Amino acid sequence: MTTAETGAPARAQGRRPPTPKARRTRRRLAVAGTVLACAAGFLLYKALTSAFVYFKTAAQAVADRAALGDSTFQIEGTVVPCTLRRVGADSYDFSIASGPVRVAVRDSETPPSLFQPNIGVVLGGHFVGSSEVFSSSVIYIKHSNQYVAAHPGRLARGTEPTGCSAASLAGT
Amino acid sequence: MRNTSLLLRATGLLAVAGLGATVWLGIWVTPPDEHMGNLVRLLYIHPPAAWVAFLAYGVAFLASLLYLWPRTRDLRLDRVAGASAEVGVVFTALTLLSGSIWGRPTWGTWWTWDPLLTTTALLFVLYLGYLALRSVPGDPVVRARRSAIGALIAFIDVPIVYFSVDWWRSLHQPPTVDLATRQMYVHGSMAWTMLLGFVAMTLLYCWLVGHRYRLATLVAIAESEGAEVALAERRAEARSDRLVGAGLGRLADVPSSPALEPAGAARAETMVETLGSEWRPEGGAGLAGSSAS
Amino acid sequence: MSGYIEAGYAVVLGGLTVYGTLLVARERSARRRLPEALWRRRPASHGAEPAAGSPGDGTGPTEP
Repeated sequence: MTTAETGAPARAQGRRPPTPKARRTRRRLAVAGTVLACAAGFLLYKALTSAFVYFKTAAQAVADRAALGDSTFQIEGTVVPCTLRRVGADSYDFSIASGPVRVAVRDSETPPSLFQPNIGVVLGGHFVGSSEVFSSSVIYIKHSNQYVAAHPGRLARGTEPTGCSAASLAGT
Repeated sequence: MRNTSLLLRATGLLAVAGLGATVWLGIWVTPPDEHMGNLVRLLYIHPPAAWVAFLAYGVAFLASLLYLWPRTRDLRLDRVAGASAEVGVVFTALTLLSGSIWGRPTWGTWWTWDPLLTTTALLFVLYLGYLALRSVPGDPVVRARRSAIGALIAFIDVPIVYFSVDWWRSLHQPPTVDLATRQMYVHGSMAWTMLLGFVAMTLLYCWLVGHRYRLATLVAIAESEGAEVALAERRAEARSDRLVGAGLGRLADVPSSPALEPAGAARAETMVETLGSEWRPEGGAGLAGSSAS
Repeated sequence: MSGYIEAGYAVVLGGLTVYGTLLVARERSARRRLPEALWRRRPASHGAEPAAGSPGDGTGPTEP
């Protein structure tokens, strides 16, 4: 309709002042365009900053320890079995590993329900003082793209008996 | 054409049946996952929705490319691109929402600035921009060309989204169905249910695009109606002048009801013909018929 | 179940239902309006002058 009322006649009869309806349409589109352009700009900025280096692996973080100082960043690794301990009301200790490198973590958030030994995690936080202890306030679970039916009587992969209590989170 | 209508209806019915079966299998029949438990059930709708979004943008890209190619330039392709992109935007929104709902209990967050999530959000905004571009008033041919270029630009983000999990470090797991290796890491009945979800969502996509395309055609007819009616009026005037000249002037005053006027139906037919020979509203006399009802 | 699953299915299926229904409704109303649009200016062909300011005298895309 808008085209029939603006574009096409304008072409046939030379420029006519746009009708109020066409002006409204144009204004609305200008607002929408501006909002969308801002949103796209913001997302592009996020893609080139936060998303571009979403995390450092534990090994990279340890290697960059000096440069990182006590800045906030996200660190990734797998939860080392038998390292989870509750040390306070809302405080847990555990270690994460990437390859041979281990990082001790002091966490101040209740771990999500999928948290378990050998699962990948991304933690948000910073190194404490000059130590290699990572203080985390955010835990994200990094699960795989493999889906296997739960089988009663069979232990899930990664939760085989490891000599420590597999249910170390029980009661928390 | 009646056949097209039937085909579209059949596609819709199959899609609904397929989705129903997916929900039934997904919620009540398939087993829980060993790690995720019941949360795995979102696997049967979230990846299929994401796939359809990709498919929709792919179709819009191809149609736009063909439109820009002088030998295949056709306003029908422009309408296909617009229809497909709009459906794609709906599926992108649903992918983002269902992913967020899945992310909260599994990852532990509704949203994070992970490469896949960020580029998908960008994809959503880019195609919203494309739809806004399409609605800028203007000459249909100019608009179609402008939109086609817009669709090509927006599509750049699609491979970036798909490969983001490989190119950058990401919280999101790699795609469940790996297009490069054609591997799927899903077990037994869970795999079949997910594939059914893919098929059902794809059929639903076809149905939605079919209807969106028809709507676009109706709008195009309404838009060009002005020009066509003016043309027809000039012809009618010339004819009635001839009729008056032959002493049959009264005949020209009869048709106050469009359904009674064969020339009206013929005129509508001409418009439909010029807009796309494939398209008929409901069989040949659809336009005149629906005006009578 | 957890509520998240139900929410996910409700959002996806609900969203698709709403979009599909709206689409069919838009198509119906466009089809219903179309004949009106086609014959709206019928009387003008009998009158001495075409409707003033009528958009109907522009050139469309199919005009050579």
